[in-house]
Amino acid sequence: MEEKKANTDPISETPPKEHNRFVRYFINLGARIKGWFVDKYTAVKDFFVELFRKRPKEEFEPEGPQLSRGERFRRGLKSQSGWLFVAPALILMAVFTFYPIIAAFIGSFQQDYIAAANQGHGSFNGWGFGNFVRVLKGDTGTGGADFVQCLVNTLVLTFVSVPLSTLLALLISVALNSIKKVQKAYQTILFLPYLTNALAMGAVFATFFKIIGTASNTETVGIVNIVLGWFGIDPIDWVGLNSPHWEIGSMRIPWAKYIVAIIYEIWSGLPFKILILFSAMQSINKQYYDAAKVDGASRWTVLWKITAPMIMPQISYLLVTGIMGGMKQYSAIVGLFGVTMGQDYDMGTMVGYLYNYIELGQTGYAFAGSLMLFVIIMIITWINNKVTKKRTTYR
Amino acid sequence: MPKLFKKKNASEAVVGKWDLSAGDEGFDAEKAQKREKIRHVIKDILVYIFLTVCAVLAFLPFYWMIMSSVKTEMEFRESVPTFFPHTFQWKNYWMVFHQATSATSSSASFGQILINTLVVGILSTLLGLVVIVITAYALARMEFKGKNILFALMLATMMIPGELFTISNYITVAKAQMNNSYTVLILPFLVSVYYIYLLRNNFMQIPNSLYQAAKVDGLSDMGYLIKVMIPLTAPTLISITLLRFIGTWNSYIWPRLVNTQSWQMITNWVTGGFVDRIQPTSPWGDNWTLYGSQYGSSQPLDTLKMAAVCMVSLPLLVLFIFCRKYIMRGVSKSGTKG
Repeated sequence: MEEKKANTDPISETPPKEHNRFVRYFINLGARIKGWFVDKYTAVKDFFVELFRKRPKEEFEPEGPQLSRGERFRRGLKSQSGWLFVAPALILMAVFTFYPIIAAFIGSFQQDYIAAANQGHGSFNGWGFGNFVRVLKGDTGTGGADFVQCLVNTLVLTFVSVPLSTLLALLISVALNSIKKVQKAYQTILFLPYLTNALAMGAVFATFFKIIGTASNTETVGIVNIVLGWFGIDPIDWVGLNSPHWEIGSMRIPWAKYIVAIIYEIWSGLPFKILILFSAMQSINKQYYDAAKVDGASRWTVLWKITAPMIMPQISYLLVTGIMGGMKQYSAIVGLFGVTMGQDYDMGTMVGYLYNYIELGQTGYAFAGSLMLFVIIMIITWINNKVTKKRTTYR
Repeated sequence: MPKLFKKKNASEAVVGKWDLSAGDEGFDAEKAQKREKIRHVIKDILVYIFLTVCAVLAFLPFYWMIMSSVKTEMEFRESVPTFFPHTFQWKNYWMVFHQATSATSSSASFGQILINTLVVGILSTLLGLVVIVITAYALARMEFKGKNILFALMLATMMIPGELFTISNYITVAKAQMNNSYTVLILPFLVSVYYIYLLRNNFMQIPNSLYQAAKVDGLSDMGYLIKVMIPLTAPTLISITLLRFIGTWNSYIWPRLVNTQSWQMITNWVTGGFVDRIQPTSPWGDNWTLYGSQYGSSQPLDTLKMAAVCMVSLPLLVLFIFCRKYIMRGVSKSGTKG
């Protein structure tokens, strides 16, 4: 602050040197990098200082130093009895959470690692990035799912269904918020799909779209095809073997299956979003609405100028959790298209890919895939942090 | 009050005046008010229609599931499906009760699967609750070296997708030869960092003076936890219990990976192919089937599948009806299914 003042002071005889913008940029960049390191350094330093800090004696020994050695030791131990409380969780996490992280990192760099081989000791062909290369190239030689196909499927399904269902949830919550009677009943019915099993309801949705029978003797074309038939659209084999798809290079774009999966995801994703958005709308201070009414604002103005900004945090929260959940979807796909995830895994998802390779016994590829899933999720989190930080909220 | 009323009228009058549909230059407050009222009613009706359509669409899959589960297969396959079944074939449920997990194996019945699910669900919920409560308590109230580091480490693991753990855990379990047991279904999911975090925050909100008062009265840490903290955070604990049980009920992937069919859970049973087959244990005598060989031995029967789906989904719906408050609160707090 001080420096800035001095620079703008007209009396000072040495005006600051004007760098051109590139130099300025690099000076700023340098300062920022330095700041970053200083921040990290202080954080780490504080961490260790805290770790090895000698507690003042009175924290452990209120009676003073005349206690015997055994007594002092006992008291010291007693002050650490919290470890006893966290021990069960800590042991479980060490085995089932912390160790797996390390194992995943190690395993993904052991090329063609197969855990079950060699009497359960595992076998691999040296160290390196071979797993990643093979997974990305689809060159695993096992007839399993294709990583790029799975990635594209997951991204398409997520980035189409999440915004759509959030928008629909927003509309429904606005409608719910504007009515006065039987609000609770609507809310309960709309929340019902939440508490269901993705697999089970996936199977129900599949029956809506399924064509049963042979090509020559079709028994039923399913409700959706019947409804489409009213508009003169020929029956489409939505989930079956003859499901229409586009081919781009070696990749399949099974658009009919995409539509089925997206409809299912919107249906199953709505309840939670409505719950969050509706309760957020209910908690908005009524004074804002009264003020708007006095000013003669229309319903749309109120919606876009008051309601929407007030629930912006919830909307971004829903988008983030929705995208995170979408990246990890699996059981809905199994419910809809069976354990093989469509035909030749053409509806495979990222998580489906991992399980596919675990079941094939190719642990190394599964590890590599899981690390890539982790990196993708981290990238999305990072982008999201960048985007949401800029939003201003009125809360 | 009257003053406010007048002002409201005036503002509406302005709207009415600039409304092009009004048409007449002469301004009539009463007429404008009436028009406004009609517009509101129409809007309300549209809103109700929209909500009703949404509610019907949200409910339709459940209706279809229940109705399909009691149809005969012939009726289910009619080219124009019936909205309400002509005949209720409750035998479907009998058939499904005695159906094996998949068409290839005949080792697990529905009873076995249900027992598995209940045992694992109850044990993992209760044990998990104990672990969560004592850990959250220690993190919230007790002082020990490295507490904050431990907590930070725990929170950091939430960033990592659970699938990354599953692969290593699968190998660990195989190496320890723990496959085909309840232990393997329970142990890896006892600790749930998110619930620990949630409960810790809940515990932190309880004022410290209560703790000191309890200490003065000679209550131990454990006694304080049981007698003061648990009753005070009961709503959160109930929500956590319910959500955890639902999560176990819905678990699919892990049981499929580590256990064979007779040790799996109820969702694994749903994905099995449900085909018409001879049921030796039927009460109608031996060799009882629904359709004989009409649909072939390997063709899946969707009505049977829907009956199975009903048996998995309906308990959850019943649970929801009875515990709506706790479940909705828990969900809006945690945003997870278990």
